[in-house]
Amino acid sequence: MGETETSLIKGVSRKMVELRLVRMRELAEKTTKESKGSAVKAIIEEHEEE
Amino acid sequence: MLIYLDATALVSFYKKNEKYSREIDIIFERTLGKEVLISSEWSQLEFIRGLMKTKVSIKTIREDLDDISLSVAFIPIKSAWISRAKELVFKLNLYAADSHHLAAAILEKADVMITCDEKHLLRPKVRKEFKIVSPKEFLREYEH
Repeated sequence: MGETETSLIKGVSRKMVELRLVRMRELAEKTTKESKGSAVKAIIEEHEEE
Repeated sequence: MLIYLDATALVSFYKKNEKYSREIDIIFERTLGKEVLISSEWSQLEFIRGLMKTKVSIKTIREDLDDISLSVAFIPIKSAWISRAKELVFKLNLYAADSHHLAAAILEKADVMITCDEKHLLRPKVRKEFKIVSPKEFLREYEH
């Protein structure tokens, strides 16, 4: 892993990261309401279909 | 700590009814600002495919992907990963995508890989190659 990626993550303030997590959770709620079935299973099946 | 997440771990954050959704949610929270989460850029395609197959709207998937990109560092695919992945396919009979994730985690010197793929990546034979854990196992270890 290069230093650039590391500093990108560590360089942001905790507050900013927390806000991102709140936003991600909001989106996750929306995704869950819309979705049907298992996304993990869909990914694994796609591997098997390769 | 450098933590590699494969696509099954990433989608489990967005799909609350997956087996390890709760654990992944806790991992994102507990590692916040403390650890670095990485994945391959390839995971973004798997993330999209996984959610599309569960009928999530394209607009929502785009929003999810933009958002997760702020918390997970997606590393561009390197030819060295492909070389290592070829060897892993021969050695462990892995699928292409799985061998690529494992090679990326090894060569980017991740401390651990988290996956929800119990059928392939969490097989004992594969786990001899690198530290690969389920979200539940990761949390158990991380807490102690």
